[in-house]
Amino acid sequence: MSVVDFPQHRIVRRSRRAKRDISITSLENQHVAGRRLLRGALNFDRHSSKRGDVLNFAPKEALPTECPPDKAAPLSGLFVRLVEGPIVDATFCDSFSAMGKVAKANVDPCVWAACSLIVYDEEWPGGPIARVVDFAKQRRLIQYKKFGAIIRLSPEAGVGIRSTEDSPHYSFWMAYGFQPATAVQDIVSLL
Amino acid sequence: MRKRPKMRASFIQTLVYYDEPLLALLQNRKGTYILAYAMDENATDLKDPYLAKPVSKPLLDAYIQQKADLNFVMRDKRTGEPYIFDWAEFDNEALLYPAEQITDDYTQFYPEPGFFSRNHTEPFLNRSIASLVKHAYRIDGRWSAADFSRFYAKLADLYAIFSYLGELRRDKSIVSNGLSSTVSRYPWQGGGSYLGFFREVAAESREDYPLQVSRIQYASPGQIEVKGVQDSLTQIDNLITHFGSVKADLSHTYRELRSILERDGALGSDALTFSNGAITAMALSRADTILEEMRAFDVEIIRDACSDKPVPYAKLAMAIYRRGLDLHRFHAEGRVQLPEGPSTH
Repeated sequence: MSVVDFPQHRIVRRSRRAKRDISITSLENQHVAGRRLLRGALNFDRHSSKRGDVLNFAPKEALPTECPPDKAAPLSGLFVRLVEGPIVDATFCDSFSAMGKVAKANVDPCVWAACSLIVYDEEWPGGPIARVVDFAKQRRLIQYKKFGAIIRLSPEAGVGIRSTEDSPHYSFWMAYGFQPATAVQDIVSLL
Repeated sequence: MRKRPKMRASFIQTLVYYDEPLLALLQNRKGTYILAYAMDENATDLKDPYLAKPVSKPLLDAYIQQKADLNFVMRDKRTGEPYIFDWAEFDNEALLYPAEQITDDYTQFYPEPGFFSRNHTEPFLNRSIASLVKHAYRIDGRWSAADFSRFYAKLADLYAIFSYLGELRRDKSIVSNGLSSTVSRYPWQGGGSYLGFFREVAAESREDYPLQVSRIQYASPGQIEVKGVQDSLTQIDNLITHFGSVKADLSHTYRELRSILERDGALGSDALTFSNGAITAMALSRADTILEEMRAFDVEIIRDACSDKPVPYAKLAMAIYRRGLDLHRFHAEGRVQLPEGPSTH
């Protein structure tokens, strides 16, 4: 397994750095995506629309049938993946399904096969990392996930769904060939 | 201090998801909402532990409206202490253990202050489910007050034992000792013991399996409507229906068993064992047959619970048979029609 280190990136404690040149565009994209995906909750209706964008989608991981759902759309811009340490390897965006964990009861297998991402919200008081820190207060997260890897996605990276317009969470299905480690912009401490 | 009973709860929705459900809304069989959040994975011996807290609707609303954080909700005493359950064992329902039975100090696992519902990843659906179902028995012919009383008493006894055994099936290790000690506490000499046993079993499961009479319509035809857990009520209906086809065999075996007990002097005594191995084997074989023929019980579980008490085991089989027979009679006489299907409340 290849390990990708990012020694050139400073580990920031509660970073408030604004990458406006990058993220204004990305936030616009996310906002559009958010509106489009407003009804794309985890318990989606698989039969409600034609499988548009996702028809040509070649997934990186093995997915259940009719997954990703119809409402999934390409994601672009900045997002945060919670990680255990300041160094990530090629698998840090792998879903629990790809890790070989059996889907939990009451979880859609398609969602189980997705990578969870947190919104990079520059409009959040205190900045986008403060948004992530607020979310990561959950006990099981804070026990293991003490860092946030900021990643930049292009539409070719994969497709995703935001549960609601205000949800901090995206379900993201990586496209075949996408190397998430190369998309990492920074890794920040959440402590 | 009274030992808190376990409870069962159904999944309503996930509220916070990140690679897995981190906060979920459940509802117990009485309709009380329960917030359950993922604990540290190594906090207990459970594979995937969640701390679950019953919450009142106003408190849940306050949390959803961000008027209280999750820490406040979990510490609120008004709706009782928290429970812990293993999501890895989540079937149709989760079995929630009082937190103090799982860990000495569960307060250390309370969520950090400042986790508000703004961090919910999923929309709050404001949904609820009905765990208890209404079950209406249509009645006809002439019914005296004693008939009503007898019908309900037998129904309640069987409902209690079915519910209790259902729990045993799911959680053998923890509850079977309870049944064994309950069996041991009674001398099994006469009606009082049987009544006491079923009452105790019902009390043990009352928190989780309330059987309530929701309506009695005295007219002829009329109806007796009860509210309870569907599984147990369906099992009783199946027993009543099935009883007719095996009644003759069952009756014969019952008489044999009763005769064995009588001849051995065990019928009116508080003996736990028979006078010798041959009689024990004969009695156990007939008690097994009775329970197996009724096709409603996990014979092994009851037998395990009574492993060193063959006399109470035989008496218990007879008591269950008599209750099944009584209910079946109402049905065979045409005075009770079984419900065609349960309806939710």
